[in-house]
Amino acid sequence: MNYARINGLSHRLKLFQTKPSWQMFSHNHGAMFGAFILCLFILFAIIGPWLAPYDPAQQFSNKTFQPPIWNLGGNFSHFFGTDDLGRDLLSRLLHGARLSLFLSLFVLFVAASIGVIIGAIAAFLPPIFRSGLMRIMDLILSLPSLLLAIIVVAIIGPGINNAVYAVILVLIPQFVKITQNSISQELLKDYSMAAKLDGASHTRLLFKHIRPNIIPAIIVQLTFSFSTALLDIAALGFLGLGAQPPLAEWGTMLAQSRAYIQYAPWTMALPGLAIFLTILSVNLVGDGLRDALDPQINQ
Amino acid sequence: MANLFKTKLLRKSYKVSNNPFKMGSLEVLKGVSFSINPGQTLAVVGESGSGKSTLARLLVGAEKPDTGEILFNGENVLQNRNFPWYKEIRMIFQNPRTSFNPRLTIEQILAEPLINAGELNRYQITNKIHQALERVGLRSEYADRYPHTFSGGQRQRIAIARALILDPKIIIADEPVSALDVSVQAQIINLLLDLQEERELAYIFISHDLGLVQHFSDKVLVMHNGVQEEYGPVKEVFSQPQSPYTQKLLKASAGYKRSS
Repeated sequence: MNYARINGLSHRLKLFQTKPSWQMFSHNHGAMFGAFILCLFILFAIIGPWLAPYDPAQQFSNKTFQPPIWNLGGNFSHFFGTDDLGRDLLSRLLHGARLSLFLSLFVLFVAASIGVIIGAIAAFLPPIFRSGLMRIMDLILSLPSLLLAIIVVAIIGPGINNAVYAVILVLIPQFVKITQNSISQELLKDYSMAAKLDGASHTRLLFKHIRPNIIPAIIVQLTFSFSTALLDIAALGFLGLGAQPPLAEWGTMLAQSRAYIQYAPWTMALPGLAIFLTILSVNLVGDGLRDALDPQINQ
Repeated sequence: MANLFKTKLLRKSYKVSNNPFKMGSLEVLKGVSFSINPGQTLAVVGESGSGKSTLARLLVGAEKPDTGEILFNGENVLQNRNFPWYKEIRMIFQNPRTSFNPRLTIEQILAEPLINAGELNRYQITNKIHQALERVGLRSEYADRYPHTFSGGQRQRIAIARALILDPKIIIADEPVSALDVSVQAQIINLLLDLQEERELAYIFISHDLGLVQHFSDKVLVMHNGVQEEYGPVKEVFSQPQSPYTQKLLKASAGYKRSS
């Protein structure tokens, strides 16, 4: 009996876990590079405030526009140079990593959870309610995401919290649509019918049979939406509707330094590079995950 | 003695309009009746769109007929909400490429009906899966592989294992060999015949292939546009077809001419 139980448990672990193929993922150099950069940035976001040499808002008024170390005139007191108000760029980038990354991840997490749940429910609604709900989502999607976010912020007032709510609202419809569409498509396939004829309940059909088939689509959507979240929060900051100065946030930094691009390009290049690398690595990781989760590719 | 499985005047129609204010409906089945006993094979033949697949969906309980009765051991199962369709009446799908979930292993796929039946523990489930795989002529190590690593014939064997794993009384096979090579078709048919002998299974066999039907089945049901054109023992229907449609169908079939 004991033997059977132990055997049953190990068997259960084997039977009821999807096996993401680590081997497949680790052979994908792009995905590994992306994962490395992403881990590095997340590490910076966590320990950044302790690494930062100065307070991000501290102004060295005698050292405005000091170039970074590799430029002529740069020195070790300010490794990445300073901006128009003489604030240390390295400190601001490290503090900004926390704000930008964690806000985007939080926005993404909330929007994806809400969107996927609504989408899954919608797929099982009667057709009239489903198309009603989907037309509402189409309506939201028909506006450019930034415009909608601006409208929402204009209604509920500026500030970083409200910007987060606005971006969450903007991201939800994409997840609703992609979840509902994928589930509806999978429900029409023979294997869904076979699972129903095997006596599977609706919940079991959804979580055991359909879930592994729609997760790749949702992962791809997550990587797209992450960039949208990061850029929209940044853009709201630029318009003065999101992160308020002197808060260090990559998008806000990028926007504020736009006027000095010819005179002090590093003030714009460095936050831009940070955003670029983050989005690139998220996309690479997303692609790698999608492939690693597909048994047809990874065997 | 009551028949094992019997249907009376099954009718089914579908709405063909999405517009809720303008209902149109298409009658797909217009009164289908037949009966079948253990160890017997009923062949359902007819051209595409004659309602064969709809009939199959009604018989496995995936959909409910508009009117009519389905009797299993004399009990009207349409009125019994708790009737465990999946334990008694199982289906083999036409296309073995789409009827398996590409992201589950063979073991997970075959475990599904056993888990839902809830009678065995995990250890017994594994054993049963291995037995079932060996019975249909596959190695039990295949259980850990994914469906796309198998050939069409092997997949259809797995489909048969899935249909048989709960020891059902009736198997409904919706053109189970039409997607396979001719040589593989014969193997699958022989496997089905062996299993029928072994377990007294009743088959409801949907097919285009009249030559195959003639060898394989005891009774024939000919359908045309949802109407039951002819129903009777295979010898009578093939030697003395009564309805003009059946006559036309038999004339059109080269296989029939060769074998008669």
